[in-house]
Amino acid sequence: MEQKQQVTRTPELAAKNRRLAIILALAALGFYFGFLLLQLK
Amino acid sequence: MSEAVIHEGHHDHHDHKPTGIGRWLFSTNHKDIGTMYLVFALIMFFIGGAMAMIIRLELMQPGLQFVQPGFFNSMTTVHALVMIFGAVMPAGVGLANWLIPMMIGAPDMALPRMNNMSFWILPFAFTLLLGTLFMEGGAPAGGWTMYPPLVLQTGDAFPFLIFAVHFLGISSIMGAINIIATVFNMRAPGMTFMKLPLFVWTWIITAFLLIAAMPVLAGAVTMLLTDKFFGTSFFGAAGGGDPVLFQHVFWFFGHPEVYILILPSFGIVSQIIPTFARKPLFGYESMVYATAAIAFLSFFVWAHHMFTVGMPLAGELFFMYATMSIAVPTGVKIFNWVATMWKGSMTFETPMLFSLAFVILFSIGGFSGLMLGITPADFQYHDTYFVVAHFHYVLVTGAVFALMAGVYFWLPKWTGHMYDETLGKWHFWLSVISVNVLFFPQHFLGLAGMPRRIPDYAVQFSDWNMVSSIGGFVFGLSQLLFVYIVIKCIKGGAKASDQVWEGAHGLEWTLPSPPPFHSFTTPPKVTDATAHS
Amino acid sequence: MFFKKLRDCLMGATTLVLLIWTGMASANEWGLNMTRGVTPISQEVYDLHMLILWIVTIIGVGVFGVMFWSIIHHRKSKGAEPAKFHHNTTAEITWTIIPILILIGMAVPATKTLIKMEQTGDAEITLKVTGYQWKWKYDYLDEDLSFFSTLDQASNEARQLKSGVDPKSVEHYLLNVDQPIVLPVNKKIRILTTANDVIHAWWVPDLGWKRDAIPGFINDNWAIIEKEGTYRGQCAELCGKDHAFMPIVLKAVPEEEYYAWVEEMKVAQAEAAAGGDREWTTEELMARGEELYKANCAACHMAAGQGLPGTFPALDGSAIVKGPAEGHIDIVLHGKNLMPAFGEQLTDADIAAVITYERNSWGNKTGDLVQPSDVKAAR
Repeated sequence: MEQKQQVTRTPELAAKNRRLAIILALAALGFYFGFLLLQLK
Repeated sequence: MSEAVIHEGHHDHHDHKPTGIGRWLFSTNHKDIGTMYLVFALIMFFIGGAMAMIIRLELMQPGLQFVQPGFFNSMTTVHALVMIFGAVMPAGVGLANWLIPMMIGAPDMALPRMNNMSFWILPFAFTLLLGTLFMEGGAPAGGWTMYPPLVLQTGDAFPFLIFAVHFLGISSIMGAINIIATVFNMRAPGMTFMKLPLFVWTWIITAFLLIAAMPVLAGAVTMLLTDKFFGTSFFGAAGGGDPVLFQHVFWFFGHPEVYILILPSFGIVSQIIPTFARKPLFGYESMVYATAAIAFLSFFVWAHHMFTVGMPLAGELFFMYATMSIAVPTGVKIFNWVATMWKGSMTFETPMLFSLAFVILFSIGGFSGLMLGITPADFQYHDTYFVVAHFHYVLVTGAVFALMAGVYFWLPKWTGHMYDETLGKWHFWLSVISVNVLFFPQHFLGLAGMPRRIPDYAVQFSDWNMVSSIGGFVFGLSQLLFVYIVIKCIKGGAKASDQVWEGAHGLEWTLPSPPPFHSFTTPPKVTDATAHS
Repeated sequence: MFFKKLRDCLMGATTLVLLIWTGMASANEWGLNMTRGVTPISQEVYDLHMLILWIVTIIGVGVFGVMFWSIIHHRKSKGAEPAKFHHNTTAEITWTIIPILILIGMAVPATKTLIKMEQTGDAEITLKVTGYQWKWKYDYLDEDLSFFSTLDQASNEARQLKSGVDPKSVEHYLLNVDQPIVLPVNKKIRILTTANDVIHAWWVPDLGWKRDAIPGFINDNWAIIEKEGTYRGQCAELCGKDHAFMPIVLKAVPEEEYYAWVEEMKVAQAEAAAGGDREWTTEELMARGEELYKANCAACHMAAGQGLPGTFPALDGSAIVKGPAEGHIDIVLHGKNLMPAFGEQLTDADIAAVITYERNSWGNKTGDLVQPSDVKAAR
């Protein structure tokens, strides 16, 4: 396991990254189910 | 090693790399993951290329000499899936992984563990897909576009096809999320959006396209799966459905997909031409806005892939006008590259050769694309070799040439060695001549009436098919030279400086060649000199 | 100096354009270009095609010309010093507006042609085209006449893998059928396209358009054929393994000849149907059966009945073929999974013949004869 980069990687940054990732993943899922549900109407 | 430029990485204790197979299997390092994507893409390029050689071999003469028609259809189907999802897209992501953190002054990607998973899904998905070649019923043979009802006649390979596509989509979506999070959250101080290299911009926009488009593909193939196994009738008229619905959903993904394939290449060329012209990129803001415009418009043109399906007139007219309008921002980009060259001081190393060929030959593909967008004319072009010529010009002499240009351009940075320039030029000239012998005659074949996806044809199509096949074999063989050059460069060569190329600008060119395993662990200072060219 | 350069450029460009024009003109004769076709629509489409082709050629010559100039003159080895400019708003606006105008110039005639293509009303004759895997069915809706049109036997034999037959020795290789369609010239014909199984597409280039044939849906098209002749086309949507082997042959004839042909066809169909009323000899059944097997069954079950493992069962040694005739008749009449219901496509006599052939060929020696009346009873 390589050394952790303490200098730029902070818990705040990790939280920011995680939050953005979740938002984008939800968007992707939204497109997936949206298109499926559209066809079921 | 220059002391004047701000760089870091000469501290050995930061450079401790893992070893052995674990280094690759469990990597969370953007450089190693980028390398794995690129190696994977190269292997897949040859697998897809071998299938193309089989196709051209059978098409060399009228009559069936080598393969059964069903197997031929499997070849065209899997060739496309491998090239699109196994070669071009992973190569683009490989470049993104290597370069984006370095270009923005970040130590790595935002989500390094997800990065690892994004890569390792790919060999798994392609094992699923390529494994179908060895099944009794054979590999899928309904075209990479998987139209029902035909695709529902696929035998045992069907679920493997669907799941492979799902996994490929998941890999791409995770990669896209990673890229957006990285660029939004991890730029070095001073690296504002309008200072980003154009390569980063084109990847941001590509990443948004991926997030919007790949789930739609997943939805479409899920509906195929439920139609086949779970009694739904989305696409069967007998059950109240419509086969054309699939085409709408597929191409709603499919058109943004082709921009996903080309936008990173636009970015690569936008880095290379200013470097070798020793002149800044012309119209940086316009290039950003044009790329965004192309991406935005790409959501409104999908039905130009299905003009012959029997749409109402209003639909046909709308999609014709929308399709034609994309020519405007695309033209702006071409003109801006030429204006970058104009009154520059050019040298013609291999990356520049491939980039210049890109501008000319991609434009030819763009011209045939414009012709295809004219609906009444498309009624004669659709499903003929004219379309095959068009998309191979934009994808091979377009995307693939730009990816190769990028590899030549950044290989010295990645490896620390200059590649063999003489061999590089040989690769270029062999490729550019043979690729045109391969694909230009296909325009004639299409206009003369040759349909696509056929293993055998009427005798009037013989001559140009022979010419095209010969071009194909030479082009295929020439790519072996590329592999040789890359391996030779990795093993050794003239030492590469930090900047490598006289006209190179950007943060990656401030790092040593090769850069340390962990670079920019301290954010660099962003000056105008280190921002985009 | 400037005027000299301008003159050189113009001379170069003119030469290039003339060369291209010559090339494009001869391309037409060499069969490299799109056909003008024989309908008013096909001519308009051809003209549209040539218009856009010219426009993109001129743009290409212009842009690539500038590039080549730059590559030659703006190179470091020639001592060129790089300029520093990196934007020019006037240039950007110009090369945005001019393409927009050019596009509008293309869109106007294209719109007109497209609107014309939608006017399918007031037709005098209606032909319904149904795509099958892998043949076409034609229904003349005004005449109560319908028949299948399959790849002709000579082409079918020559196209088999490693057949050893030179395609050039086969007349209209892959573009010939056993039963062409006949249509009158100078009459508006409405052509409906649909399909029986998967999506196909009906395309005769000389008519100027193609249209998808979609199962469960009907598409509407029209043509007025202005010139007598024989026009050939192909299926233009991947429809399975024999997608390349289901051509279209259309003969355009004077009106009287068309009506005479319709009558002939109706007589022939009545005779073929009547063939089901008598007993057939073994020789008749085997001969006709072999012909039909090659045209309809060999595509999947292969020439020697060996099938394709994992996809299409072998007939040679098959339990159904060697078992009771009722089971054999049933599956040919009604189909199963990918196998079509041939009861819709073939007459009683035809089905009796092909079943008799299968039961007495290769390794199958049942000695059974199946008569048309047996098939009729099983429907």
